[in-house]
Amino acid sequence: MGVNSLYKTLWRKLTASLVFAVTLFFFTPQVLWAQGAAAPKGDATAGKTLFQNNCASCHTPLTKLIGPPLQGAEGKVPGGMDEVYKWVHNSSAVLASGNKYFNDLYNEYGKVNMTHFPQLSDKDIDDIFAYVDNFVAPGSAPTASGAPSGQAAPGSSSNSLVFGILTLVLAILVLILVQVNSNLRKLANDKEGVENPKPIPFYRRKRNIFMLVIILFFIGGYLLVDGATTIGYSKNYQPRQPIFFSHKVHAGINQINCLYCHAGAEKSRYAMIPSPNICMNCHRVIDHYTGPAIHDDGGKLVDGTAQIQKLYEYVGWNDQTKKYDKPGHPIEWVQIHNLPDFVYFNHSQHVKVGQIQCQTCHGPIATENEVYQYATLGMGWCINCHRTTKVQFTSNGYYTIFTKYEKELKMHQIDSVTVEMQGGTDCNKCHY
Amino acid sequence: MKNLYQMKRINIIVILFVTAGSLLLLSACHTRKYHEPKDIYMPDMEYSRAYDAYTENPVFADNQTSRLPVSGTVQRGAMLPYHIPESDSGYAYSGTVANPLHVDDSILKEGKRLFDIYCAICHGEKLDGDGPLYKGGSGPFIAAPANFIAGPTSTLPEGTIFYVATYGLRNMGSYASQVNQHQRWMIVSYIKSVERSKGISTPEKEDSTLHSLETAYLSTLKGGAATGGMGSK
Repeated sequence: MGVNSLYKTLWRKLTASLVFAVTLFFFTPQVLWAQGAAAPKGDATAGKTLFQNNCASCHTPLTKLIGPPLQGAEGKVPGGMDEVYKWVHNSSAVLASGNKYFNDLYNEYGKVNMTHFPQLSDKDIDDIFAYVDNFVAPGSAPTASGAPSGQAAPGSSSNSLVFGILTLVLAILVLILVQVNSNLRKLANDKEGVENPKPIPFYRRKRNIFMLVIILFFIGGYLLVDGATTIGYSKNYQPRQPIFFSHKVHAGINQINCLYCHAGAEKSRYAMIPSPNICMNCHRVIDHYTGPAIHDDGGKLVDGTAQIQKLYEYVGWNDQTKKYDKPGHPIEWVQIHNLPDFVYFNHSQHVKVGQIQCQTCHGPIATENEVYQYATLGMGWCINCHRTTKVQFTSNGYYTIFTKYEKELKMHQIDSVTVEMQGGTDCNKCHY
Repeated sequence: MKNLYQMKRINIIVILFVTAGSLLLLSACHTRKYHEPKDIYMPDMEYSRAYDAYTENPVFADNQTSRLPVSGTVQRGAMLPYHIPESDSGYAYSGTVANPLHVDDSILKEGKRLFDIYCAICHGEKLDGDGPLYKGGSGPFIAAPANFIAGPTSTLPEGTIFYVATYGLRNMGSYASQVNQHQRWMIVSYIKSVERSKGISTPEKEDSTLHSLETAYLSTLKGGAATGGMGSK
């Protein structure tokens, strides 16, 4: 009895102290941290708006941009917040006064003058630092969220496995039924005293051979016609590229218009493989990948940040100094779509005049991580489209020359004009 | 052996099913993607023998077939090259350049289309500096893009916006390779028309300020800062 109660008190004390310790462990650092961070005693919510309107073009809380990261930056300034206020209000004056700390910083960041902000009050600057110092990077660890989209790629292969197993089961079932059927017939024949025919192996039965010949005839015919009509077609060609550039990430998730990079599509014969300066419009700032996990068509995880680093290597961009101070070399992209030399094709004619969507010929690009050739690019494919596509006849200055059709449209003799009616299937339209 | 007409119905069904099944399987193979180029029947017709836009070219030192326009030449129908080189004094002076376009509705419509393609991705379709890449600071592009309808950028003169689109500024790159001069002026016209519709006016600089800006700009030109600025942009 005595031992039991002693045990109970001990247990109670132990639990209580444990709870206390755990509480201390979990709450103390946060309280301490919050106190330490709130040193400039500003209003972080007001600071956020001020920061985004005034500072965020050149500074971020955590990473180098045009200027240094701002988290804790005010603590490094000798002279404290008063010097910071002076600097923000008129940076040139501080530099001219010979302040060593700011002059060193100025030289370190490529001698870029900081804009003067005389309109920001000391309180505003406190608010900004209150926001910046409490800033936590949203969704760190970019590769951690690999699970959700990772299931997509193996899903399709397991589907075909299920179908394969089903087919096999059905085939075995058919075999068993056939066997049962023949056995039953044999038994029935025996009972009725009918003589069983001499068993012939199935591959020597004339009926089976005949059926096989017919089947092979059809398959052979299909293969012959298909092979002969698609000579030189490269549909589904999906070469490996030097940089794993995902159209899904750029055109899909981030909604960048096709023409942003392929600006030539409405100006020239070529859609334009974007020159790397266009990549660097965004990637001088975006130096790591934070979106959902990327998989190649084999289901393998692709490291987005490594691809951006590859781009930096090609263009000679130094991510530390934020300058092009390394030797660069051209990116040798592998051409996917190739038309023979004897066919003329012009992108601007289709995109600008014809108002054809990119996806009509290139497929659902904005959903693809790896691009492949979507259309056959065969002549039949071209001609089919030219026969059925109705041109925007009335609202298009290019077609005023076709006065006959204009008249007929007005008289309601025809309701639309196709590409073919304008000579879009003439040989010399594309072959010259 | 019985002929085809006397064949049992079951046999015809079997033939049909097996043929259809194998053709389905064969056509399924056709959708499989492949990574190495196919064997081409006539390679010298399939692949151009002539140098094409992106083919390597042994004639030029940089191995590229695509060339820049010859320096000092102007394309037919194109605007004269932008004369201000990239420099601090050039930036300050750029505001004095007036928009050469006679702005009408068709220009504003095209300007909006171009803005939505090339600029809105960062500056936002509402011109508020909050495009899909920035998303109020939660997007992948962490630097805040300029806001055209409030703050200091909203009162920039047209010429300066054109200058920035041409050469880039801070975290923004040059857009000269994507939109040509005529298109850039159309975009600038559109931005200004939206600003005007929101009651934002661009302050005119006084003549004396203009004069001092011009003197400062011209003095840097004599110093040789302008070399190579012409032609390519």
